[in-house]
Amino acid sequence: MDDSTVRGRELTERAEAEHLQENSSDPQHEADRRQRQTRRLQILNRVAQLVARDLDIKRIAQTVADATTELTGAQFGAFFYNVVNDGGHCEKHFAVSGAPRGDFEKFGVPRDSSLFGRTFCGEGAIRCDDVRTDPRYGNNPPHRGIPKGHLPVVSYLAVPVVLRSGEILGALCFGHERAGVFTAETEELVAGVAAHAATAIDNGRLYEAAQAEIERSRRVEHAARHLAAIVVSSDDAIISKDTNGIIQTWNKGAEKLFGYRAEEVIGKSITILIPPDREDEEPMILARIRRGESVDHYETVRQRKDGSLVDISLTVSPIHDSSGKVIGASKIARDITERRIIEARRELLLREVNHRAKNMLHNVQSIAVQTLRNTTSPETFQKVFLARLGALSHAHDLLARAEWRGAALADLIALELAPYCGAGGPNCTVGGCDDVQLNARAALALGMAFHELATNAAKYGALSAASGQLEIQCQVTPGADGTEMLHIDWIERGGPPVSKPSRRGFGSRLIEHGLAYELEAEVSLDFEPEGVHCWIYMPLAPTEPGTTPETVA
Amino acid sequence: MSPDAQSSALSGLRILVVEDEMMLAMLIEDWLEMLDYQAVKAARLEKAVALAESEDFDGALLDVNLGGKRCYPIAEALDRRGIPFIFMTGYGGDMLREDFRDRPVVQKPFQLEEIERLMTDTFVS
Repeated sequence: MDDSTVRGRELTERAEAEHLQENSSDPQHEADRRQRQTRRLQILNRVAQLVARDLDIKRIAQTVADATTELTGAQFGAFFYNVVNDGGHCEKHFAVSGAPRGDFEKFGVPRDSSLFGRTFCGEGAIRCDDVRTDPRYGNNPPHRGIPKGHLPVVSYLAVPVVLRSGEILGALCFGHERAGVFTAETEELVAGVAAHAATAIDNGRLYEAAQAEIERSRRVEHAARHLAAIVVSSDDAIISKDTNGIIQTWNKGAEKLFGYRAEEVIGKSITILIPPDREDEEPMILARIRRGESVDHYETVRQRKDGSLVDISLTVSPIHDSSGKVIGASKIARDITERRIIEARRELLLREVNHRAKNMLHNVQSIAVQTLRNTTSPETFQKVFLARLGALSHAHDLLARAEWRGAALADLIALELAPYCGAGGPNCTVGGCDDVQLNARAALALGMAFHELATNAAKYGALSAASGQLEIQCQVTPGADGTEMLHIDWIERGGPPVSKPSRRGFGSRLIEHGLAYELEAEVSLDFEPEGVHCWIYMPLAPTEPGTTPETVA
Repeated sequence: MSPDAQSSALSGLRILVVEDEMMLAMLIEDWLEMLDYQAVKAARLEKAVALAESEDFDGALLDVNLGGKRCYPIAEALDRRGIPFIFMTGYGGDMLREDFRDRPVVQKPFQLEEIERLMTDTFVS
């Protein structure tokens, strides 16, 4: 038998003794007693009704505190009760009656070891006629008794409020500055109200829990609807499959990316998307998913309904049931074709730039070596070498202007003749060249050739005398199998008499053999006494698509 | 053996030069003439394959990229006749086809000494 049972019996005996005492009173006393009894019943009734209707714990607590304070005739009373907060921790709340709330708030939470706190620890009710004489009073630091500034307490009554589960919810505590105010009957009344209060608060708690659950499921449902909307409207393909790779859901993005409608693929294996050469990927992915691992941004290739292939980035994550078991996988596939095209374009451009840079170096190297072989002094070398680089540079400029698609033959000729012709100098005529477009290869080679012809003419031929005449004629004619043939005639007259050079220099070699080699041209270069005559007959290759960022695809 | 003695031992070798860039072909021809080799030039794949199949050479220099075409048919034709060759590439050896990765390669632009040493090692054995 435990302490609380013993204590309970003591209280019952005491109440019986007090009851006997009351029965022996005079008629006036009897009338007062009946009136008091009626008032108590009214209060009890009111409390019972109020708390039965109410589900708000805070309001119930205040009603109970007010009613019991009135019932007991206490100067002040309070209902201390435990509330589990959002973080799952227990907090002590209280409702006060008969005194300002602030009078309690400043003393903080009562300790379990104090006389006051014992009611919370299963020790049952405590009733003292004079709390100062109780042996349990004044034992606890720091206050050792009622704290300074506390409302004066002599008579003291505390009744626990116990829930159906046996859990002690809190306590109703009352005080009065006079001794012997609280009787056994008062204590029983309070115990009765406490039982009502416990039921009401139980209900309130259930109600709150139910409300919280409803709110939680509403939020979950809202979140689920929100997620579903995201999945539906996503441009990414979002697919779910079970652990055997059988498709369970299929969004619009997946329809767009792979070409299958949802009803065509749900229930089928995800392997319908996998090209034959990647069949080993799905078992690898499924094995990872079954182990609870995910696959992040895996770049691969999948097959559309029409058989075409698409570059995708794949993220696959396991789906768990509420017990944590893997029951399937969600799969997000993003079309990365666009990115691949950009990457390929960039790579092509880099390679093209690298190729052109190297090519240019060969040309410079070649010109340097050959110029060096045919010149005798450093001064001459420098002059001739730089002039040749200048010719290359002119052709480059023209090509760069047209994004390397090609260059106009007329522009190329004009650039090389500009230093020598016109305004009191030799007479130069250029005919039929205006509409001829050369590709990059032809432009560079012919640019170099015209430079060699022009410098030779300026040194020994028609461009070395004011009386000299240079005529350039171009003509395009249809050749075999649809190709166009370009004829170029370079005819010098009126210059000093020409004699055949004693040895072939860089220029002759370039024109006679280089053009033939590079452009499949037929070339003749004749040093006739009246002037040089150069004749070029070559297939006119179509100009190329440009290779600038805008045009490389 | 001194370089001079080596060069004289190599003089007169007949070399197929397949290079579609005019200026580089001219440069290589010049260099081979300086070394007393005889150069036979070809700029296009078809012509080069025909030469490789029909004429006798002591070695060949092959530009890997001939106006967008790869030079492998020439290499295969030379292989069938046991004629050694050197690849010339502008992009580094990694662009070569797998089965030719173990063959000598010179990266453009190269120096005379570099190609001379490589030709001696490859063509004279």
